Amino acid sequence: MKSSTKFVAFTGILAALAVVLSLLENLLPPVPGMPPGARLGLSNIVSMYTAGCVGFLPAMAVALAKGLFAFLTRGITAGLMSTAGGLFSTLIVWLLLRKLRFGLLGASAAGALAHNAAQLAVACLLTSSAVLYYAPVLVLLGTASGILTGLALGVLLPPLEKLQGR
Amino acid sequence: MKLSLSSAKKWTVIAAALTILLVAILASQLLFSQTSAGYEATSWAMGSYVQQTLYGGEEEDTATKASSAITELENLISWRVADSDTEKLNSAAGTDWLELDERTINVLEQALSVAETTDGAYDPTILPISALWNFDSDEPTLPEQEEITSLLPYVGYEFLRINTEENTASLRKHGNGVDLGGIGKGAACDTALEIYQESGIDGGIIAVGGSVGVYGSKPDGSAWRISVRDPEGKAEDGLGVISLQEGCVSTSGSYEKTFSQDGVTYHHLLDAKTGYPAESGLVSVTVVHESGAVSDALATACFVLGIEDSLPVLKEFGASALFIDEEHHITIAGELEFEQISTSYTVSRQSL
Amino acid sequence: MSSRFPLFRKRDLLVFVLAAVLAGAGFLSWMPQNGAPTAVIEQNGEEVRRITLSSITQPETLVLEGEISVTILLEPGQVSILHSDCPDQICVHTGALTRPGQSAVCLPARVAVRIVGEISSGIDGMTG
Repeated sequence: MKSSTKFVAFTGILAALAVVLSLLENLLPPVPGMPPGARLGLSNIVSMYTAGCVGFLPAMAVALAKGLFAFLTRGITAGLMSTAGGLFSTLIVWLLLRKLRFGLLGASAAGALAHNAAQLAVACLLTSSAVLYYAPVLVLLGTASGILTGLALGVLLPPLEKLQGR
Repeated sequence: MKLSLSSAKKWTVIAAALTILLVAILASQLLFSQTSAGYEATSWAMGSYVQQTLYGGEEEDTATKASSAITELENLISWRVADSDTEKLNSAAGTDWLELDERTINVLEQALSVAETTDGAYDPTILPISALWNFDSDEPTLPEQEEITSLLPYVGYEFLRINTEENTASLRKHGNGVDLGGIGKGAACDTALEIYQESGIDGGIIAVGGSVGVYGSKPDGSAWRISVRDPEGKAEDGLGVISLQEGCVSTSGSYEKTFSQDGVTYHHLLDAKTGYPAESGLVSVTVVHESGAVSDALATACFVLGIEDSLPVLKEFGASALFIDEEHHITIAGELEFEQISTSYTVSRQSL
Repeated sequence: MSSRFPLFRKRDLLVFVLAAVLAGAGFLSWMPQNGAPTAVIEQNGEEVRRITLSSITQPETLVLEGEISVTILLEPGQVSILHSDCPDQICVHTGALTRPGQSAVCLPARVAVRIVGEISSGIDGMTG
């Protein structure tokens, strides 16, 4: 990257976008019958785009911004869970997409699973191991939301890459 | 290697289909195992732990209805509940006839019928004496002999009169009192069984303390199996199992509520003739009858009467019973399917 | 479609297979719990704790505070009421519960411990 100012600004914009999307998601009414922690993961579209097309460090920055936002709006437990989930899933997505050459669907589903796994691990430490009871459901929901994110990115990426190329 | 868009779609569809199939199989298994396990509900009423297990139909709804009907019944027949029918009847003792709820009259009538047949071995008018001992409280007390002697004349089922046509009842003398504690749990089972029948579920079992009622059939069609508790609490699985297709089982055991004073242990099964805990050489009596109320009252009566004098009473009511005595012997009277588990008791049968 | 990141590559299936296996294993771990003897501990009619007996690895005590406090002992394969402030102590004398259908109840404290699970070959209720 030539201009580091432009780079930092771009990362900032992406982080802001991710936070806005998680904010939007918080406004959605909770779906009855769903276990706590099951979310659509709209902002993951941004996280994944950053990990794939911008770079590892900016992607981690976006994840941290999301975690900080969750910490401010939903408290310490949610903040810790979101940060752990975000960082771990970003790492996995970056690895799969950039290093191991997985497709968008696979990387996205793996990212969602990694997010859930890290969240559960934190929840386990902070509350009780009873939350593990939800694990199978979370795996299925995570895969589903990962597929959705991957599909959305499949549609959004080509125009975004053109933009970035300019 | 690169995949075309169409084959990518194909793979996605296959993966999705496999996932959905897996979920469907697992979900159906979960659902299946839940229906065969039945619906369980627990609550507290009549000073007891209430346990229901229902199979097939509107299980949850039925359990809730039965549970609230039992609470309603308790609020009608418990003398401790302010404004209950029984409390009103006791306050009005020695004055006038009172119009009461049909359900209260029904229980009073069953209580009176057992009292008359057993010549007061079970007596619903025991309250003056039972309130003295206060076994239902945390701190039962040993009454003075004079207190018992002075209150004993006020106990007698003949003081209780019922008019079933007008749903009225009265106690003849001031100082009389009705305590339906010995019949309430069985009556609660009857109430639940009635609701099971109305709601059209396939089968259900209710336990209110030591009284158990069964209705309909289990998913596998086998008989209901009810374990008889070991009075000494040693045999984990109980003494044995009574198999039942329908009806109710109630047990009166001297081990249920006790206290000790000066080296003597007193239990709650009072003999209305003496005003003291009954001494018939028995530890517990379990009675099977189609009516829960009758089985509950008969269990108390048979405990007071002892084995010998119980037999004609059981025959009269068409009931069967299982007696456990202090000599570790089990006597089974009447048609009763009993499978022994604990070997520390001997068993004999007695025809009615 | 984007040239840099294809929507789908065959190796993506690895992720989905992993997810399916994880979910399947998770659900299977639920299964036996429906039939396996499970202790249900209730206070005032509300469930306080539910634990599969076979999953208890080391002894643990559970204290239920209340007007009358009750201490419950969870051990591998069995559960018992260890101590109760109640006057009659019937619940303590009930001893250890190991099989579905068994229960120990402390009436004064309104605490109940019972074992649920597959009872088709066992008992449906208890009298006495």
